[in-house]
Amino acid sequence: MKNIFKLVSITALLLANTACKDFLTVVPKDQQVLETYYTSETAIYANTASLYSNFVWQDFSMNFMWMAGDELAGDLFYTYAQEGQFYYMTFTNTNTFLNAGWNGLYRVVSYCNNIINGMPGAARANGVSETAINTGLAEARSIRAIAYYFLTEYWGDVPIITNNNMPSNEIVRHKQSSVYEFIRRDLEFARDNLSERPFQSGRVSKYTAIGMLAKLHLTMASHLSDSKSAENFTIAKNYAEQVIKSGLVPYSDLETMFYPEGNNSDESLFAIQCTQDGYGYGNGRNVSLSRNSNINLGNSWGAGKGATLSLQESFETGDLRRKNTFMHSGDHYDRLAGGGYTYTNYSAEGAAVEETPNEMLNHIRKYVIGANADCGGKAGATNQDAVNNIYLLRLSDVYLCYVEACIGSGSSTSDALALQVFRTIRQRAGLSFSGTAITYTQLIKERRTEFALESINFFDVKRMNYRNSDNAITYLNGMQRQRQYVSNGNNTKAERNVANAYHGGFSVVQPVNGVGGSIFYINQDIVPVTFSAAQLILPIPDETVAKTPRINEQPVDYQF
Amino acid sequence: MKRKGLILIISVLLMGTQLFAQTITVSGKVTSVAGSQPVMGVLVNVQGSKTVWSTTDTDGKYTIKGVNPSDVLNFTLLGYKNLAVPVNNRSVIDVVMQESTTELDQVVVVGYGSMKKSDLTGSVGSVTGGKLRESIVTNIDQMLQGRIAGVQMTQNSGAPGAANSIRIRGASSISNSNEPLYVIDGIPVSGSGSSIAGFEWSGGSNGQNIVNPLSAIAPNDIVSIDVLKDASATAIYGSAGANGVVIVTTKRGKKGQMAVSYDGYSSLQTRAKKLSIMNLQEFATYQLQLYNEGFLPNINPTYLDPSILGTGTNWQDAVTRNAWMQNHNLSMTGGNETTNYAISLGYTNQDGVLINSDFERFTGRINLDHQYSKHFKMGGSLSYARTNENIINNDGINGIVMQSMMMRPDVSVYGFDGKYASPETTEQGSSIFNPVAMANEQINNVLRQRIFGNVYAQLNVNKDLNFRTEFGLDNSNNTQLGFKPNYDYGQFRNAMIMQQEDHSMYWLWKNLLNYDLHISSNQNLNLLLGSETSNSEWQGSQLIKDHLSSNDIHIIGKDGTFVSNNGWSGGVAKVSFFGRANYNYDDRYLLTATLRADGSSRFGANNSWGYFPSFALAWRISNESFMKEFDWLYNLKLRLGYGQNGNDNIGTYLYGSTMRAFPTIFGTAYRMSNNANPDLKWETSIQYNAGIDFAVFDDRINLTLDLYYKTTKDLLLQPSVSPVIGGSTFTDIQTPTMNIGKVINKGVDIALNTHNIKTKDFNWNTNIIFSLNRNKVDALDNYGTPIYPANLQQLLFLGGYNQAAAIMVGQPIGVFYGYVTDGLYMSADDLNNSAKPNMPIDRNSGLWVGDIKFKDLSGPDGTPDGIINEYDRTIIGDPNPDFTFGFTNTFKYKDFELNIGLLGSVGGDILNMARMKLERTQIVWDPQLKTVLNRAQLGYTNGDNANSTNVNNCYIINADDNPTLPRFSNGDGNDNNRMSDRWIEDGSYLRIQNIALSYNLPKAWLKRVGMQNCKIYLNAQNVYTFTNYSGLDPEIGSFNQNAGFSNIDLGRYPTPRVFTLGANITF
Repeated sequence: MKNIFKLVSITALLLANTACKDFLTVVPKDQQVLETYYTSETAIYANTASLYSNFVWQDFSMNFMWMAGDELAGDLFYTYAQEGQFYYMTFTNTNTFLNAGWNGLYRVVSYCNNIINGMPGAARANGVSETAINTGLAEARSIRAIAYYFLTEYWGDVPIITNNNMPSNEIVRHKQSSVYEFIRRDLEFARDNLSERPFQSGRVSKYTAIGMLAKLHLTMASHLSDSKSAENFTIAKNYAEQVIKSGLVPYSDLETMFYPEGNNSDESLFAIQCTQDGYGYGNGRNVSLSRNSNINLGNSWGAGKGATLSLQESFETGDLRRKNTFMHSGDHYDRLAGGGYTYTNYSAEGAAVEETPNEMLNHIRKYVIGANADCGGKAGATNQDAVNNIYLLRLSDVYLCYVEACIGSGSSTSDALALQVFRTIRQRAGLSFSGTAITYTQLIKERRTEFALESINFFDVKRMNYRNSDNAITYLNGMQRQRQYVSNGNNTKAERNVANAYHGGFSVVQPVNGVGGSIFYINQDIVPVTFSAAQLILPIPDETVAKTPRINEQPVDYQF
Repeated sequence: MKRKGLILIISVLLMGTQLFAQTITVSGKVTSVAGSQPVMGVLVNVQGSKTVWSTTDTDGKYTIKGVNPSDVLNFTLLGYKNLAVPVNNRSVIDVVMQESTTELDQVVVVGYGSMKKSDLTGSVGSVTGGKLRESIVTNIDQMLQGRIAGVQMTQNSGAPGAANSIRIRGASSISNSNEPLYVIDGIPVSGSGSSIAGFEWSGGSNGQNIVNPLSAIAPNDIVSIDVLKDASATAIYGSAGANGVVIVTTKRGKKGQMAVSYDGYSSLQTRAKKLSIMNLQEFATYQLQLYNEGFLPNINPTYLDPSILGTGTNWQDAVTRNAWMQNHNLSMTGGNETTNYAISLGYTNQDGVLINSDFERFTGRINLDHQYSKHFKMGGSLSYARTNENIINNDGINGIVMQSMMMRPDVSVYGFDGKYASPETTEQGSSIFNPVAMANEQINNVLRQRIFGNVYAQLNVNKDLNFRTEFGLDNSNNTQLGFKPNYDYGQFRNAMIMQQEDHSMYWLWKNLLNYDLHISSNQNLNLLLGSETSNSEWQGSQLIKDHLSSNDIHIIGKDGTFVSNNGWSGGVAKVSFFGRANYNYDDRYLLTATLRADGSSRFGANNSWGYFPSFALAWRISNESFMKEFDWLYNLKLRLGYGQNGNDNIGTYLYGSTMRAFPTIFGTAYRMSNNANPDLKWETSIQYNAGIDFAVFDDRINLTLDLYYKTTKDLLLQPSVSPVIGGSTFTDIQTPTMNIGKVINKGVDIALNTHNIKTKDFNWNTNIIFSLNRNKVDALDNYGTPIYPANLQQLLFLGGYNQAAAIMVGQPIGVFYGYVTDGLYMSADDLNNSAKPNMPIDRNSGLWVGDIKFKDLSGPDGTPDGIINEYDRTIIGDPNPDFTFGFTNTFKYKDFELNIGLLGSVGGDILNMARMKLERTQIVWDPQLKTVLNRAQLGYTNGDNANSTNVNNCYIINADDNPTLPRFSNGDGNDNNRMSDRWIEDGSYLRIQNIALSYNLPKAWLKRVGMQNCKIYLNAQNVYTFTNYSGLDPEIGSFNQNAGFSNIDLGRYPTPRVFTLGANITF
């Protein structure tokens, strides 16, 4: 008996002991491990593919992008709680969406840095071609540049992070001029290492980098007091010209430009790639901006949002972009609501989802793609994952950057190519242009209508501010954001649905002592909303302030 | 006490003469008092001798040779009172052993063994027998509530079968589980519940999605629960024991005729509380107020005279029901000389007090023990459980509770067409759903099946040496079905289905060698050596489809459009070696030392092994000879302990980096999921414990007091870094998991049992437990960067609450962080002269009279600067209670027993997020708490309420009522609803937890119907709660068991009040 016992116990202990080492090594079965990842070109490109997906951009693109981009610019009316604070610029640095936007952009930077720092060495060790390594690097560096461009235009002096494994207390802010220089270097590397046509439609190309370089130099040049301002206007002009002459053709169909069909056309120099793979992967605007669930037959939170009165006013009569930017009384759309939608201020009695007007008497159209039947099953109206891409740099933007660069520090241009591209953009919108010069005011107005609700018009205000702060503030105050419609409450729904019951469509009369007045009128007594130049630089979000001890120190030059 | 001392003296005297005497053979029979049954396995030995011994056989008979006629024979068996009988020249000695009933002889289960309570050196609390039956519980962890000092059990939700949080001596881990380890019949089961898919996949907030890990065990099967609290007791469990160990023992068979017993009850559950939400009249009044104040340009004409309106729909009533619960358990136990068995079958069915939530369970269990020979014993147990839960979205903004409080009273549950009615959601984009429809139509069904069991073989080489080998396994298979119908109520227009499967397999092989070394007559050394090898593997998959053409088919078939799928797999392996020595000197000095070495696959090769020692010392002062004269003193013992525990409770392969795949337009993309830390190592807790056990007057007053000091260092967590360099959310390339920081818990546990009245017919027992714990984060990363639980950030997407709960150096875990309020700006002067946010004075978008005045505590220079901004935030609350207590009284009169249990918690703060939603004076279209009607209401001296823009014209109409709620403000430039002490409430409470009355039917009656025993009982649970907390229930717990997310009321599923009628019958 004792022997048996000894045998059993010794065997048991021995077995346990010898098997230990191997037994305790458990390699993941459901994921690849880093050590064995970078073995081929395919692996590099699958790695850089991550940088385009809305999954990575989501914290920026889902909310902050349009809240800041369009509300600050005075294009989008929305006043609900924190989301609406951007409209009156009354947010503080505790604003959740401000925080998400900042974090989201730095997350994109972290993904790029991860590839830029880790990929080349690992891939080289595995014998992957230098071309593939450089292409991957160039993709990551051009996308990092785009993220930094957004960061510095919103927040001014921001920390340049190139290695994410650094202690928090070493993080300081860098001067905006350093950030510009950093972006320039990234973009020039990308320009030199990317091909003219991307190897996969939707990826960055040489012209993405050149287009961004044009925009970057235009921005740098707008700092008129900078000694290199004039030089930068010229560089911007040259870069933009290269793009104009690249053979890329502007997208012709305004109706589908913001539908999935418009994805990755020549018009799209860089766009966040959206897929219907669940929350975070796709475009949330079909949910967040659509008027109600009649439009997309799903979730919808856009009832309180509309184009501002000043944006509405900036559209000329006959501008085809108007109907594709916002919808108002009498508009009909074939591709909304699962087979057609006519906009009225009020729905008919007994409608399943009752419709009411908002204070702007319109609702958003751009990026809203209706129900699945309207867009090939890609509405994403449940998970906010519609498949229409989000443009960050359009060909038309570079066209108009060319015009702006030609104007330079002056007030107009009569450059022939500028006149030509300006005409191209207007003709696509159904408008003519026969002038022999383009003024700065004309250009800004054109840009505002062309890029309305694409979340980049605030940067026009920023460039205006760099040129002359007073002019920028006058421009903003001139929008009179306080203006909104109220109903006199005296009419039936049918009466309030008359065909011209929209801003500019009927004459506005204010009631006297609560009597009479138009169906809808603008309260004339409301206090004007005014801004100051300081409000044009966003505050660093409180979470970053709390976790970055030296963030409030004076910004420094970046050591290249 | 006296008697034992005497025996000791006699035996010492006798030893001297032993050598010279002639030896004899003694035989006899040992029987038990109850029923004169023979007792098997009793150790019979000559006092003071290591060599002269025997054990009783199956007939209770023994023969012992070489006994000196003047020797004393000791009869010992666990569970029986020790007996010492002088031989006095007799050759036949029959004895009757009494089953032990006193506290001291009670056997307590400890790690890998059991010991008499009197021999304990560590801090162990037990709940056994009747105490386990006083509460009506669905899951066994609930049995611990208010029962054991130092153990704080809170229900995270009142939903049937939901997960709970248990903190043994406070929370020590910041980002990992703080739930204890459960060892159920030798098989370890982690207390941290597995997460299931919540509701997020179909849009909206997720709700609590951790399911109870213990729901597979029928409470009726349990005979005892022992909680190892201090490290000297838990160190033997090494890496798994850091949060304490709960050892659960199930019924085993006993020799004798088959006893069949039935336990069953039926309960009615009612909702204990509802909030005072505006009814239709009040809602109309509110709208009218807003219209008169100039905030609403128009008003629904029917609201102009609220008095003619009815009360509208009471949505809280609409989602609530009186719900039934039933439980049946049948068990059969019995056996013969060699084989004992226990078989049980159980069924529980509980409906929730909120509609469409329920929990159903079937269980079956067999325990077998077989004595093959004198030396060889084997046995095993096998248990199967099937639980089926319907879960409703139960916390968070999209939860049924919140939705039912925010839904307008002018909407009816059903429309004229019999379909669910919906609110006019298009106005202002309100996203409120019909909560009745949500509860009824959205399905989240979790079906869990679990088989676990073990087999063992034990070799008793001799009475002192045995070897046991045991193999256990735990296999679970879960399927989850989520369904969201296509139904035209409000906004759901897309039928979606989600199906998920999880499978896991765990096995464990352990070997134990136990050796008793009788060094001398009064010195005993017990040695335990063991090894344990375990491995767990899991895999799962999830499929989602949408655009289903029918609401009726709830299975993933051909219908619909494929949305996404996911799959996962993983495993953890562990190897451990351990040893323990228990040394007993004369029952006066007791020493325990343990050492455990654990290897875990969660760490890289550099640091996979951790070593965890412990030492404990006890001194039974009452056994000292100089204490003999104090005959009132029953027991006095001092205990001192020290020990270390490890924790490896993190994800797998965090020492390396994986590449995570996700879909993109360019095909599958890969990105790094996290930065690696190859030096990752064990998190370690070091605990000191000092305890005293004190009992007087024949154990009628019994006090146990423990002081402890626990330091947890090298915490396994992801440092909270500046967002510009990274983060730890799913979308980040996450910061590496590191060993940083330190958390200290110190406190006192007191348990006092008194037998106040002891007569033949009437007995009164009182049991008081008291737990006090102070928790402090002593260090984090090098810069002390605070951590805000990521979980919280995702949940509280409401603005400004990202940092509402924090983990900060020098503070307890999960403190509330925000602004301090100082009343309202009562006038334009007040507004002009007080500190305020950097914001224009503007009635629509900026500051205005009637806004909340926050306190200016500091500024960028560390001094108040007249501006309210982030520098003015401070700690405004602590969710950790100052102390908790339980107070139970048991009265027995003849066959009646009355039990009253009270439960209390003092000093914990609650962040009432539900009230934040229901008292924000910002919303036109949701009803609010009635208190909103008494907010600051504004008037203008020029009478033009709609258009006045001059703040000097503005005054508060109801200033005399001292309104505490701010003015209505749609733009809310002041951010009146920001995280402030406005939402912090004292969560202290005293609860009458249960009142139970039971009656044992007289035996004479029962005999006629063939029953041995029949007890009938009535029980009322959650009877009444005394509290100042304004929400539904002050017992909140931790959201998904996360320590950093405690006492945040997100509209928690209310704990029901339960009335039970039950019977307990034995044939």
